[in-house]
Amino acid sequence: VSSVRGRIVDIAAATFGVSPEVLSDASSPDTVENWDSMNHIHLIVALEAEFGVSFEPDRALELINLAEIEKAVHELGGR
Amino acid sequence: MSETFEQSERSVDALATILSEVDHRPASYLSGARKLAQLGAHPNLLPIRVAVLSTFTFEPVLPYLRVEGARRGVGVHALALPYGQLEQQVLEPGSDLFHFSPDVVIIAARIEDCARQLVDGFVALTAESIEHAVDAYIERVASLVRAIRERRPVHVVIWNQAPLARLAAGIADTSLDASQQGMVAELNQRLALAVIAAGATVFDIARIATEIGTVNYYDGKLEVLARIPLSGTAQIAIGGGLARHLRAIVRSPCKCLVVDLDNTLWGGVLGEDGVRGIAIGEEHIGLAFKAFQSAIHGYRDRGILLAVASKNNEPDVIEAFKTHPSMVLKWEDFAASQVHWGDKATSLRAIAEELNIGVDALVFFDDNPVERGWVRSRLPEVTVIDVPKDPLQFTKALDACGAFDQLALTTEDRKRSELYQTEAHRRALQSATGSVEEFLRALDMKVIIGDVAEPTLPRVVQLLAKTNQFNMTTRRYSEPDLRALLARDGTIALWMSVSDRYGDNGLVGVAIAVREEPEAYRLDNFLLSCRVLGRQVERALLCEVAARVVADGGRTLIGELIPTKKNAPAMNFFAETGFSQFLDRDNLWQLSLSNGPPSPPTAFEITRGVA
Repeated sequence: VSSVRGRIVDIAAATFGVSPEVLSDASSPDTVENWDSMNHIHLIVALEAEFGVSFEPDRALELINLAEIEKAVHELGGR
Repeated sequence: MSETFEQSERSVDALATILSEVDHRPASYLSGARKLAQLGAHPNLLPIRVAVLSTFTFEPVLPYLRVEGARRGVGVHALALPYGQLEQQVLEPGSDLFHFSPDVVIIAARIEDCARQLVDGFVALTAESIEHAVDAYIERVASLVRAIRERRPVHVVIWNQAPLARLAAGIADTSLDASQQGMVAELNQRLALAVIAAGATVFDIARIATEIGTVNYYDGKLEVLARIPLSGTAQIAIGGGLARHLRAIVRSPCKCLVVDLDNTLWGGVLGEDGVRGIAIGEEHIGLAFKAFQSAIHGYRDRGILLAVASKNNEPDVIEAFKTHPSMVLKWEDFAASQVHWGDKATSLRAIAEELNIGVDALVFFDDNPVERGWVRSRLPEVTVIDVPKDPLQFTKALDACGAFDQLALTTEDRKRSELYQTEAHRRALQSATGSVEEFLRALDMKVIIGDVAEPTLPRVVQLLAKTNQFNMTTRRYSEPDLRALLARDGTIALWMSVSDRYGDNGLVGVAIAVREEPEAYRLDNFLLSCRVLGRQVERALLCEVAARVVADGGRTLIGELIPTKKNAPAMNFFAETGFSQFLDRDNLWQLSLSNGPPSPPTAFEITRGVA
């Protein structure tokens, strides 16, 4: 079973159409080309489906780097 | 084989690989959609341009639509216009909508967005104001359809109204004189009537939302964040549903379901377990197989032909169908059967030949993955269903493939299976009698020919869309297109129905002639359903067209022949009926009517019909 972090990276890579290797803690809408508002929605939907969680609206908008996403998934008890 | 064949094999693989990597998860869809976009045009994807007008953000559905379309052989290139712009896009000649040159325009206008008073304020409304709001909504959508179709001959698809997320009166909704749920149901019925009359089809989002459940369909967070009222689950389901609708628009439905028997129509192996040992009936897993047979019988009622391809001893199989008390399907329900130990690709080819349909009109359902793989490799044009292990999931897999989807059913569809059963009797008669002439006389045929008008229009449009073999021009027309053609001065449009001692074949022939010059008419369409091929009825139809042309003052009938991959049976028709080919034009033929129309065949009775 891959780690929560690894699965987040895979989902972000699939959503933005980039290779997993280019994604890091610091990856954000400023550094990832396809991380626009529509793909952010796709990312939220994909993360919620993967981890069986539901982010609150404000929290969903804060999830703009991978470290923050991992924190939020853990907070909500995502597995 | 040639290099091009191998190349096309490779790119077919590329498509299959992309699709095999998509699972149920949204991320895998998004990744698959990107790869499909990079793959571009593909021989197995029928391209279609789709524009969406909506009252909410539609864009996130597009990747799901692309993947689900590709799964069904449709290459969807879609554009979602900015939400809330309906009239702006439709009425502005240079709008992004028309600039995109769509083949299909989808309109998704929710009452939550554009008839708001019918939603949360429903309880405060009078019956008149409810009626007024519903009328206004329907008229708005119907006039959008008319406006689009006046500008471009595109296919328009209208979303109906999904069940509301909440009811204004709560649990008291059913106590209202006119309930809110009843209002939505009535609105959907009236909307369907109005938009179909305007030349559109209805996408049944209400059914999709019901299947998912409103709790899972709506997503309040996505709505506040981005004006997307649809959950991820709903987005995927809508992608699949719309893909089925688009497939039914651009591709002819398959015509025949070919089923295996052992562990497909019943549990167990007939040859080993015996008639009493197979699982079908009122208990345990036998119920699942019985339910599946019942669903298949429903397909037969819709006009889908049934056939058997099974490795078994035929007498055992016939005995099982005739003597097992729990069989829902009867041996007579199958229009063709191949029960022997030969390979199934050969069996499928033989079934197609016997039923006089293309191999690409077959859908193959077999629990054995080896047989499926074999048929896929030998006959890639056959739709092979990925049969799940659990027999309880069989019906769902069959329904979801969408291969038999058609946007409307006609009376002929509902009678078709019986027609093919009697066809077997006809063939027996043909082998028992001598000459063709004798056979035709013995058939006791009655041919009726009449003018195409409103009552026959839907069936005529369907024949134009579905007939591939005896079809001189393969020109397809929608109902509104055909209506426009009929309204033109100098158009002669005839239908022909054929019955015989074994039954009524229904409406099986169409001829449309248009006046090109004062004395010259061109056969714009001339077709015959393959079920009455080889009976000279096409000559009767031609003679009637010629007689009408002469009656209207014409002296020449020009025949047009556009060769396709499938219309070989039509190739010699003009040569055989006295037409001469234009020297300089391969596809044009002419028949002089200066000495009157040719005489019709005498082996059967021809009458003129009405309606």
